[in-house]
Amino acid sequence: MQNQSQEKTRAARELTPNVDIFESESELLVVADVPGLDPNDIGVHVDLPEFRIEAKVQGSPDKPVVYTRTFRVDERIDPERVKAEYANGVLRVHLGKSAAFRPRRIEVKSS
Amino acid sequence: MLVRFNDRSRFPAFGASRGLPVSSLRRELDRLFGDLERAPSFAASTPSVTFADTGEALTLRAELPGLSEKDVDISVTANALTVKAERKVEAPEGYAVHRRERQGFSFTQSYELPARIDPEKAQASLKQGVLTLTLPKAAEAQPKRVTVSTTA
Repeated sequence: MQNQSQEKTRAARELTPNVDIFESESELLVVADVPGLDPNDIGVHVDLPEFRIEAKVQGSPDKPVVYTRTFRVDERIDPERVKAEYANGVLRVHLGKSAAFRPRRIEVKSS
Repeated sequence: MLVRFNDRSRFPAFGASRGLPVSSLRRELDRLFGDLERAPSFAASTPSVTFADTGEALTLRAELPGLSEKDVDISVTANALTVKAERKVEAPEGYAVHRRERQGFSFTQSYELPARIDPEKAQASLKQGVLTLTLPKAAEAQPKRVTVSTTA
């Protein structure tokens, strides 16, 4: 009982970051506002069909604070082609599409 | 619009308190009244700003994701502070838009300070979208310890 209530007070406060989602022929681009983080505290997890952003806010005075957001992505995404960058408090995740779903230009030959 | 420094500092430190109903209500009210007083320049979303008084200095913390030094303009006097910040959010070229939650803003806010500060010593830094201002108080506003002497 004691342990349980301790767990509760320790539970992190979850913030939902605002995101923009864009798509090009070759990738999905997710842009999230997550200011004030250490890049090492940001986790980007791809576990199809789920894609999750998780980040811990350092130095919050009382309860731990985390940013978390989960998305459903389809099979077009290649988990090996996911890249993330963090600058000025904005996280940009590039989710590359599998080769089979990227448009391929086919040359028309005249015979 | 002048906002009394003290009114803001009563709310919890670290502006990340956006999940709390009280703070979101307060932001709604701020926005509403802000709209009435200065319609055009008060954009739909305003950054979260928190103040603190450390005794020796007044500090401000504002969350401004996506901004770099050139997008922020700060001026201080001995008893007032003005912060201007602008964020433009544009869709990258060649991309279709699925979702847009991040909003641009153009934010200008002046604050009356509750203590005289030394403008020469004021410092500002912008790190990963978090603006931190440290405004050391003027010598006469510094807390002083008064020693009580006992007379025999």
